[in-house]
Amino acid sequence: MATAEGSIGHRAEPARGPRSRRSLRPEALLPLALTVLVALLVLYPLGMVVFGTFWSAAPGQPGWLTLENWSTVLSDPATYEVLLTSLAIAVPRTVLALVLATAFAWCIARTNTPGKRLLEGLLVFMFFLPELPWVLAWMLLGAPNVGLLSQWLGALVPGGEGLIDVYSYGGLIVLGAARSAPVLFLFILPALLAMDATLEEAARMAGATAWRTLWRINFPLLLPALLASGILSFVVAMESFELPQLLGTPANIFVFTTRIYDLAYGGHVANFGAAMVLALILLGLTGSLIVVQWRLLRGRAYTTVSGRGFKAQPLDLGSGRWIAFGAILAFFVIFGALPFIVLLLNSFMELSGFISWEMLTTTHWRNALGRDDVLKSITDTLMVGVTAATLGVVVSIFISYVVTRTGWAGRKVLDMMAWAPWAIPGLVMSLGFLWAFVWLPIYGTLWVVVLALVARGLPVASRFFTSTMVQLSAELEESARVHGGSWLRTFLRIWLPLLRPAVVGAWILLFVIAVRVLDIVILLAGPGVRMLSVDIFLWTVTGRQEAGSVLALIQTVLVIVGYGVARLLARRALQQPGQHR
Amino acid sequence: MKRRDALSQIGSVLGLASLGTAANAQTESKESWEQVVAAAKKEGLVVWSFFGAPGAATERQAREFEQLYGIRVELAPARTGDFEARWNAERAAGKASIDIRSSGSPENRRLAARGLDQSFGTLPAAAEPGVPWIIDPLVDVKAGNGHTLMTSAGGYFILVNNRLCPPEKGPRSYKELEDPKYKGLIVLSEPIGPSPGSRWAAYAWKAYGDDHLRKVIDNVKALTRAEIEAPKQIARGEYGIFIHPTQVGAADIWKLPKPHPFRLVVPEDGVMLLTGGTSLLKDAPHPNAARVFMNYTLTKSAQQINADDPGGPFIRKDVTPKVPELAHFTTAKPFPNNPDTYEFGSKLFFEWSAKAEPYLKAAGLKK
Repeated sequence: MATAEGSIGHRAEPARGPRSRRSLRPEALLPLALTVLVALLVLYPLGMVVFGTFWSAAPGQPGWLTLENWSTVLSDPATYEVLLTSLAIAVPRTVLALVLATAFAWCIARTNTPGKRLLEGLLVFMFFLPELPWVLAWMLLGAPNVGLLSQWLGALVPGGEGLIDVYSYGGLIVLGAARSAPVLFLFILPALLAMDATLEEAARMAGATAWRTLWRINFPLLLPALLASGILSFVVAMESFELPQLLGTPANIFVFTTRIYDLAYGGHVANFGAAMVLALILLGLTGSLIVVQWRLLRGRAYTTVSGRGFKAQPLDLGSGRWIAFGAILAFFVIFGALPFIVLLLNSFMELSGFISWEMLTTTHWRNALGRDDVLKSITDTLMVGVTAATLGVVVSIFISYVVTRTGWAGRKVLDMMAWAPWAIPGLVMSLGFLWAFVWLPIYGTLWVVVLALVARGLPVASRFFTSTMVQLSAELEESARVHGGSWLRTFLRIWLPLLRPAVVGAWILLFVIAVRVLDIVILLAGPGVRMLSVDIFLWTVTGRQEAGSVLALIQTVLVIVGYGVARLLARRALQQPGQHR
Repeated sequence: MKRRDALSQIGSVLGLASLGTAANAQTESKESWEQVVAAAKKEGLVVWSFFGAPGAATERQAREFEQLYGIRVELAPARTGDFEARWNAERAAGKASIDIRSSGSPENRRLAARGLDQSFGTLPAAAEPGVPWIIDPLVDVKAGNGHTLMTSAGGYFILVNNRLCPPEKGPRSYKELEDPKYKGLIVLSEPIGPSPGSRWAAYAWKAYGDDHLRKVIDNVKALTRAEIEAPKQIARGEYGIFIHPTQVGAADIWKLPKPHPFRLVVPEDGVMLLTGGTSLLKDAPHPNAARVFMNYTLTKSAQQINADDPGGPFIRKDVTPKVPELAHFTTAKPFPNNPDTYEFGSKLFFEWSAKAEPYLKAAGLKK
């Protein structure tokens, strides 16, 4: 096992050569070029947000420099109240999501749980479901006394109709965790798949039980992926908007994002400056978590894939394998299938939320499928999704490479920059993108949406690659270089094949984010550029939920098709020797 | 007698002269309007931003307008905040893409108060003789209060679940909502921004004062920001009373099989009315096409398209609403001192609705 030096992963020693020649090599230019690119995609919009906090009006509008936004927010007791409430929801939500995702990924990657492909497909499917209709479906399912689940429980157990209440802290935590777990599962699964099974076998041969092996072998090796996923999940929880807006507000639960919304959209005149101050506080909070992550991983080695080759042997869970199967299936049925069925039924009802034979209609489907603008939304969304995911993967691989495999002095800055777009709530970051990109000649085209989505996807994809790269031994790269392989050839022939599962996973993640994300694109997709996510949102919040359900289902089909195509193209890579499940 | 004849003759001459002047003016006006239409056709495009999503009416109007004038209509639906953020950024960069904005009149009046709209000149449809307007489309323009064109009208109901709150139990008016017997039954649209709850708070405070506001808020069980979902929650029996949907919000649940599990109460103390406005925006890239489109929105044909939507808002009384029960705003008694004025929309709306804030906090409904 290779040992890391002062940072995550082990860096390959660059081949020696004349200085002038070396400086022209791609690996020498790469960090700088990446930094410039990421600065354009991230720092420039972020700079507009920071400027906005010190400006008395929206950037570009007449105003003056002021500290009023900061003093107003920092002296307002509501700021600290919503911060505490947000933490009270985000922390348990993150822990629950992480536990569920790790357990699911471990069962599927490392044990003999039956129906693994099916279970993986079901969890991936859950990730595809769009958020807003999913939340609305849960309002229908989990309202106390009158919700469908509540009524079923009431019929089964006396007083059961009052057992479920989605309008509560519990509702926000459980539903939030159910929403995050499939995403985290996608993060943790490749890391578990790439883990050398001989370590587990050695532990078992030494007499360790399955649980002891999990705790002493799998868990420490998974730490980078778990930390990255945990932080990501925490940030997602802190910036979650639809859930607290729809389920928290009626229960008098206000969080950071609903406060930002109130400031930006709730007053007589939009107070974007104060909203941005809150967003920067959130950035500071989550940014400090990255520093914690660095400190935790410093000086430790996580390399499990070396030149030796390995073969994964599934752990025998005995009869427990059926319990694992049942638990994952139950999770899917409750949090995936039920809301999906509600969504599907809603699309065939005269009025969403009122499911009965006499309300059955196909009008919404006929209307949606017969509209030119829906067709344009589909084609625009597909083009944006494919382009943003592909560009995002390319940029993220190189960022992760520079961060984990080079000694470049600015790599931590690059890592931090790549993280920032995720740590700022989309409501505010979208303003930053708007104010930054409106000056570019590509404003008003699909490309401006693509750029914003690439930036938005960087943290996800770069975390994805980083957590996998730190598991790969530098000796593979070194041996290729020793045998005369150029940096580019080594990258293409050694790194890429080893990263293929992560590439596929990251591409799918970015594609789904690009197709589904709303907050980032709502201000950029204007006349001439249509996105399904914006149409779903507008139709849903303005009383055409049935039509919104149709579009949400079309969107779900799109991401499933994207996922299927990506998996098909990558099948050979996924079935390389040594990476069978 | 001669004198009278002479006066009569002078009168006739003057009358003819004035008729001639009117005819000339009309011809001139017609000619200048034809020039506007010609310029509009040359522009070939109008970008129409409005609150909400494209609906059957907006799309039908866009299609009909395109057929009539050969000018393409690009729909740019957006919430108020999104519209303003985008439009402000575009204007700062010299890339304004939106021509007209339609929304609730407070939004348009705020644009007017900040000088962000511009004159749309004379619109033939607004001056059409004999049209029974619910409200004069030029009410603000004539008063010198900016350039908002009123293009629709609507009104609120009190929505009540029949099981949780049987008809004999009331309520029949806004005033009655302060009765403690309604405690725990009410879901209130959160008074935030330009929400229906803000309008209720502003109007109720103005009519009945602080004590009324406090008493009603004491009866509130929950606040909602999902104004579209709330009527369904009433129909399902999650809450007893919703303050308060417009006819557009109520139109959704009207589709439910009869007998309805809910009732729409037209308050005895009056209907809170609201108007919808359209503004020709400053820096509009297609000002002539925008003017022609604004003119079109006032025509009977365009207004009938609005009225064809169940609960659709309209401003002419000479159209036929699809569901007459949802068109109470055309005939109902307005709420006392119904202050849907320029000053209210541009300023007082938010000042008055803010009166609810301390009572919401005291009732534990808001932090």
